[in-house]
Amino acid sequence: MRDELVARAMRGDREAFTSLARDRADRCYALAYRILRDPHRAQDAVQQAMLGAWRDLPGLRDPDRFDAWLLKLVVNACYSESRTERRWTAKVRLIPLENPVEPDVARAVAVRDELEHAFRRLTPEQRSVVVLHHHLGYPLTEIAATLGIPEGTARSRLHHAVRQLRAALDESPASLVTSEERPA
Amino acid sequence: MTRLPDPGFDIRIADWLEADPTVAPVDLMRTVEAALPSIPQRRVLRLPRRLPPVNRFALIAATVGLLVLAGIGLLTAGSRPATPLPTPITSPPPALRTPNVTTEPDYSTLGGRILMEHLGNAPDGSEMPTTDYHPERRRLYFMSPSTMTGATAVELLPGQPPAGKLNADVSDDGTQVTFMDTAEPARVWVAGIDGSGLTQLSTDCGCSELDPAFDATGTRIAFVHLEGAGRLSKFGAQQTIETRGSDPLTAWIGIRNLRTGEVTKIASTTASTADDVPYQPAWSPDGTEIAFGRITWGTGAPTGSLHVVDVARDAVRDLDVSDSTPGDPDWSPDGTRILYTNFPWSSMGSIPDLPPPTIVSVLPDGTDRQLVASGSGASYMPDGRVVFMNNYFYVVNADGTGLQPVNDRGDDLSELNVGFAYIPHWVGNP
Repeated sequence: MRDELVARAMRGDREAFTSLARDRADRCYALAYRILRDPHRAQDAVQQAMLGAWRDLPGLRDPDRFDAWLLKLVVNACYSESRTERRWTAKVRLIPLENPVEPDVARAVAVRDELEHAFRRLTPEQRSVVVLHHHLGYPLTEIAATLGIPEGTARSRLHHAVRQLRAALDESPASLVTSEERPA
Repeated sequence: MTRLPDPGFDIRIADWLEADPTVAPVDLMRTVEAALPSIPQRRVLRLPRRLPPVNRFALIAATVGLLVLAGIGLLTAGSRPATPLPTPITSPPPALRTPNVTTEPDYSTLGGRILMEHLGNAPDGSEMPTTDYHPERRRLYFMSPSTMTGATAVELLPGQPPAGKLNADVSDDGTQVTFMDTAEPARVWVAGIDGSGLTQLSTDCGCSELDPAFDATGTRIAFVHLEGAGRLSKFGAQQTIETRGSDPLTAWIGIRNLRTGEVTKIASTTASTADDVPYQPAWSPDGTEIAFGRITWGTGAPTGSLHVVDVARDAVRDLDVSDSTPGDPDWSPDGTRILYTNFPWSSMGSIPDLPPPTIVSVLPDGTDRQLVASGSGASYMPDGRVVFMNNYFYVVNADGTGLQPVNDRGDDLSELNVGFAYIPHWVGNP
């Protein structure tokens, strides 16, 4: 069914392409959101990728690779989006907590914030590898094939990204745990 | 699946990623589906990946045969008189040029220069000791595509007028610039692009004149007339309307003839409330229509609308575009499309929590929406491409392809300690 839709879309059938795109919109958006950390940029990236996919679909050599090819377009669109990231309107607002929060919950929230903060400091290339590996569960060989990079590069990016994330959390007061809590 | 060591930390990352949204917004696919009919597919002529198996000796024989034929051909051609080159058929260049895909990383070799609208401390760093953010400092600078650094930016008319310069427009022939100042009431000015002949156009009417725009001939300027209220441009890019006591608010688009000084009021654009005040008029290339926006500030995120007024008939039509806050319209050089920014910075700038701005083009009737890029302050270049701001200045083809920075070694023009560049205008032929 999917192959038939891809074949029809390659011949210019908009309905077939729409059907394919609709089925993959959530997955593409989830990927883009996790790389860009911004709902609007993620939406723009997915739209750019989808429209690029439609435009270039007749050039797809292997219809079996449609899904991987689309994910690659999404990742590339995320790279473009992140290159044009604006900073002027970035604001940080402190929201006072009306109710006291349990220490464990507060610490979990703080750790999540630290992770978010550390993740944003990664390059888009590192983020994409982390998301493909830890969210979509791709092995390094498939990450490399999807992104069109050598497997060693994918491994290196993942290694450095995870190391940076861990370093950021280790430095964070929020991540300090007692010796009893610390995993062996 | 191959995972790195430390599964505990891997799980934490996976859990953290898992909490993010997994469902695409409803309008994502709507936009894609709406755009599909306007995007042709690229058809490719593809050779088969593998040639059919050929006998080795046959292949050698065929190669030798081809070489012999080529040699004979060369000898024959060499004995003939030289064939004159065909006379090129000249035709006018297409108005909306879509250059070939370039392997260059940027557009730093383009001709012309950029007139940059800027707020805050001087981009060359000379005012850095005062690290305060100075949004009331509004200036215009020229930048060269070949450098695009703050240090090499050249200010237009330093210190003149004293109330600064913003919302500029450059005449189509590139010889004149018009802008408004941040005074209260605001005034419209015109000068040569070299800074000569600075002239205040606004008379002392007790009103503000805002957002000047040249027509294609450079002999008329459309502007926004505002009385009974002021627009707070000197407090940043945010340009809310502030009424003055009990004075009734009146605003309309006027056209000033630069030769006679005569002002024509476009009555159909008249507003009597802050939410109806017109913004950023932009002439159609044929001089028959003016596009403009309106912004409703309200209590939440601002909303907006786009309109076009027929100058001769003095009649306004609304553009039914799907974006919530369109503004900063600009007509393509051939008049076939109108470019605008959703959440325009010239009008709203640094209001926190607004969605990122996007650049969109539509037909003059508001249909056929095409997403061009993410950014703001967009305007057409003389060749039909689009220049816009997104920390750096970028150039993109009108159809959204070919996106590249003007100079990939240029400065980040959004660093607040050296001010913020928010609108580029391309001057001269790129």
